[in-house]
Amino acid sequence: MKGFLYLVEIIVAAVLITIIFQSFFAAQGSGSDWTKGDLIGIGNNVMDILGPNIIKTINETSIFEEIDDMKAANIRYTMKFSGIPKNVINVGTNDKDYIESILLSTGTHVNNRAIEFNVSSLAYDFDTYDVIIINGTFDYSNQTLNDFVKEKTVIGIGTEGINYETFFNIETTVNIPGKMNFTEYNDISKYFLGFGFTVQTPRVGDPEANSYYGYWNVSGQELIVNATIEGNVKKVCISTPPSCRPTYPERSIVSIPGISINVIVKKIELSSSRNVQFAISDSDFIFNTAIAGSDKPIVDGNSIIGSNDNAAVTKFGNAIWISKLLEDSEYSTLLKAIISNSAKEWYLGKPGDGYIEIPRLNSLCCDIPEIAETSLVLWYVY
Amino acid sequence: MKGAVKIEFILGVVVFAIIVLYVGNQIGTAFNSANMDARIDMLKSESVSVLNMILLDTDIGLSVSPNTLSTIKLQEWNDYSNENDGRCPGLDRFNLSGYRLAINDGTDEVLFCGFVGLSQIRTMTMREYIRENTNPIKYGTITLEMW
Repeated sequence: MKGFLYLVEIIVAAVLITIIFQSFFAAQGSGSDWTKGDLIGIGNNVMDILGPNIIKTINETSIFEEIDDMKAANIRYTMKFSGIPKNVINVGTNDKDYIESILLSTGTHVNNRAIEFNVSSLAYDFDTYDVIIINGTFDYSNQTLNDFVKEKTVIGIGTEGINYETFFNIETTVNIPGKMNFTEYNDISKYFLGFGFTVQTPRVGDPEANSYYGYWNVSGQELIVNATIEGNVKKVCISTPPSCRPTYPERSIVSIPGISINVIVKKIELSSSRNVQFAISDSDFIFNTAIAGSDKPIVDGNSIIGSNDNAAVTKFGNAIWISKLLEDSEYSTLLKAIISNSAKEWYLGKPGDGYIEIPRLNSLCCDIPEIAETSLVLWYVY
Repeated sequence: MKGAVKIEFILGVVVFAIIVLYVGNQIGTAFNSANMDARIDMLKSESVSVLNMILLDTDIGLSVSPNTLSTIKLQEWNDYSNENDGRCPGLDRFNLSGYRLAINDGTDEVLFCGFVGLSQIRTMTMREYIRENTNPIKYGTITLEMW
């Protein structure tokens, strides 16, 4: 029996030693994994070649054509953008015709980029929407909507919704009239000022001089906007009627007579569509529909809203509420600004497993300050 | 049976010998593996440096500006390679052990220089480039194998 116990001891000791050495040696020589390092190297190289111009035309086809020529066969890729509005924003709404009329009546341009709105009627599946707009009556206790607002933006308009006070965290009190302007430069006001307004100039002023004019009602004053070509340079003037002598080319900053705000001439179109696009360069821009009274921020954490207020906006997390929305250029720009500010991170395609991101920061100009983060997303398929 | 060796002693010696051999074998494997890893890391970092030189250095590399390769320099490297047993002119000065450089322009091979090597410890590193003065812009790949 004594000899048998020795044998058991030896076997147990051998097993223990084997296990200990096994785990000890398993930790050795794990090796360097260059797969991610190689992807990062290639990604940095491709991003250096693509350069900062990629952000100017966020066009899936042209970007992918260039990268297709460069990458290896076993690598797949997509692009991620953040910090700037999506180029095509999917909007779901319960009032498609009205929201379309507000959003699509004029083009939306900022920092040399066009932003498009793809408006569709609210369907059962909310996943495809970047933003949901509810106009008028709607039950805000809807569970799908409450799940959606945890990740993305819901914009509510008016006071007819069920449980909207809770959803938007609004406390309604007595009416406090206020003239609407931006008392602080936040992201929504940034896009409002950057998008500015498109003033149609359909009337023929002087056919030989290729001159066209129209009227712009801004900050409570009617102005004449006259666009023409002088020596191959497109120029515009803004003045109080009746006359106006064009003097300002594109990218000029123009002080509007009679109103203490400056505008930037973004673009002068004199071809098939005759219009002039202006951005606002002062944050103390005042809404036309404002009521005289004390200043009031257009965006507030938890505003006090009265029935006479115009376009007061409150923001509670991803839920944004607008007191009313009229078919007017200012309300149109305001809604575009809110939507654009809500959809500022997106992929051109879905990344695969084990992806890496190669980011680059680009500063955009020239309407508003914008920093875009462009990332090349790479992964191996085999 | 007094002089006979006990079975426990024999088993102990056998187990001890097995353990010694096992440990020795594992140590050898671990060192070998660590050596290979270190060698691969060195080759990889050399490859990255060489490719950076080719793509970014306008004096001794192939570029006219960062990531843009010169057609004239590519031709010069090709000519040198043909006359010097396949050696790459810009890489000779680095005292590299073994290498093979292939530059492709889409589907066509623009430059191939270097050697044939049988070593199993080898690395392959790839980078992208733009071809100088091409309209539309031509992109291509540079592949450097080292051993």
